[in-house]
Amino acid sequence: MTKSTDEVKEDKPPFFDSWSKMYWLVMAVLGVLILLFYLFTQHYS
Amino acid sequence: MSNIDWIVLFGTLISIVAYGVWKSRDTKDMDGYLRGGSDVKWWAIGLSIMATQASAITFLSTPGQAFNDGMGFIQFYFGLPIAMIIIAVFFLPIYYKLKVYTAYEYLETRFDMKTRMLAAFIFLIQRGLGAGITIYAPSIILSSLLGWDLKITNVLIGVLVIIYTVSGGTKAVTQTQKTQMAVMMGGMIIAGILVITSLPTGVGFGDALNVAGKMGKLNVVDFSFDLKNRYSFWSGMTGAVFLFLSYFGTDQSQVQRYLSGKSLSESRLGLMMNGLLKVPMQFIILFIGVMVFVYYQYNQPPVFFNDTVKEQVYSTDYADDFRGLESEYTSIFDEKLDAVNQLNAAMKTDDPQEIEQAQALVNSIQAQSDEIRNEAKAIIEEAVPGAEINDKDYIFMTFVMNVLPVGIVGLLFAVIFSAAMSSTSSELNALGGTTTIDFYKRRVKQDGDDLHYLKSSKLFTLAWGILAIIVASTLSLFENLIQAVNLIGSLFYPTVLGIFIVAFFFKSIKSNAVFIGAIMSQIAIIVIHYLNVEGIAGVFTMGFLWYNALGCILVVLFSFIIKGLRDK
Repeated sequence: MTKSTDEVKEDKPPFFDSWSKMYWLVMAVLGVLILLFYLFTQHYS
Repeated sequence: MSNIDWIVLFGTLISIVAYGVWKSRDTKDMDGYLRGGSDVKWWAIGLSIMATQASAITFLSTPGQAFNDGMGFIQFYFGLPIAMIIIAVFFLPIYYKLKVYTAYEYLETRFDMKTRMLAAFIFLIQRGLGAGITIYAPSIILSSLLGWDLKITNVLIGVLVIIYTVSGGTKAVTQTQKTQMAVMMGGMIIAGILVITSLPTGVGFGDALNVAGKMGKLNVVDFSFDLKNRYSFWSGMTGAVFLFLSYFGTDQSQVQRYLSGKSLSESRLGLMMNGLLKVPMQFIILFIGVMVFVYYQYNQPPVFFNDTVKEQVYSTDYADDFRGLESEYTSIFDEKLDAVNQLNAAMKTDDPQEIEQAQALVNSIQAQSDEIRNEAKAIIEEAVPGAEINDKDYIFMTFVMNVLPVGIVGLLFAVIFSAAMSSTSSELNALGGTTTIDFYKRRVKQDGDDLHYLKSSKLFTLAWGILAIIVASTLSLFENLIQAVNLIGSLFYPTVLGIFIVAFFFKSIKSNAVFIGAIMSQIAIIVIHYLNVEGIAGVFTMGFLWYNALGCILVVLFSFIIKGLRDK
């Protein structure tokens, strides 16, 4: 293992100007999927 | 299988192995061998993470799970995107900053060597046995379906994986996993389309959904809270988050995948890709299982899907009883088919009362049908002691072999072999790397040059590969070992995750406190398992998934208590 004294370079994600927005996207997609699954369950049961 | 299927199967497998060896032929140093040269793109990392997690059992068991119990299993994966974000935010920057080869190296920097060794040792034991299971579990099913000797199937999968994993390390694993994922997803999508087109004339996709829904197979989300319920929204959003955190954040077979990234951003994007695609992917696989269920509402299914075990029953005194049940099952199928057609007709009338009556009739006949299947399983248990009576792993491939066209059957078998190979290769790659970095280089020989450690890594990877084949070949003698190894995972992973959680989030806790806290938590989890109804004493009931949250919390709690006592 090589210890690095430098901070790791953090590039911006594609499409967004910060990583937190990318994480919110992932959470939003999960929320939408759960909502769709819920509606799917309600409709077909 | 036809000759074309054999050509498709072996053509695919040999091409994958040759591609892996060829693409990694320039691997000449440790960085290339253990971190893939640190130049892997985000989408390749994402595919590699997904391919590592998708074992053959994913493709064999998941459709069968949906066939039997519907789509509720998807909730288990709800915690995965959350775990991906936590790892991307907290774990990944530290791994990158320290430029580690293995996750356990970080623990020495944060605590001390004994804590690092403890975590690495647990990984080697758990994953070493796990690699054997990853080969054995599909082998027993594939050998039964293809009529091969079990040991030959074990050796075939093991040797194919060893060839490219030993020669090219992480680079070969990542390159082959791209093609393996293409085969897996391509094969499953084709299978999904063909299942739907195999439904009888006059039964549309909407009818299929109605039948599945009214027979309780499309209950995807369950918001009720019950500790006994293994798959619910709540267990997925809590227990599963801890499980995925420990698997993706601390298990070297996954950590090694995203540490091969070109940069921190590439690795993060790879994790996000997994977070975005995993739930839909599992949904598709489960949905295929539900469509297979619908197919068998219109076509006579066997009373038991494992033909090898059935043949064994036919050669015993129980053959007549079993055949009697088969005839009963056939008669009740005709009754059920009429009821299913009535249900479809009722759905078209939009009359709630008529629909309710038709639904009640279908489900009552389905219950009788399930009862006959259970009786058949009880006969098998008596006729062939020790035989596996759970046939869910055989349902999908039985459908594939009996219904799908020539060429596609070979492709679907290639999917299963590819899945077995992709997860095994990551495991061997990580086992070889951890043995070299955390034990050999740290404790045995510290002054070797890069070439020496490269050769050592290859040798250790080879040794773990041979051991995995031996474990897989021995497992048939110890059926309960599979359950035991799965249990070991549930019992020990929470402790390792707890150590990492303390390391990342509780900076005031030092090495001795976490070490003693981890050991105390481990003892507590073993005692809890003993008292659990799924364990031995049966004092209370708790699903294994909850151990992951509980064990992790206990490590943190005990560490604080030890720290408090030492501070006094």
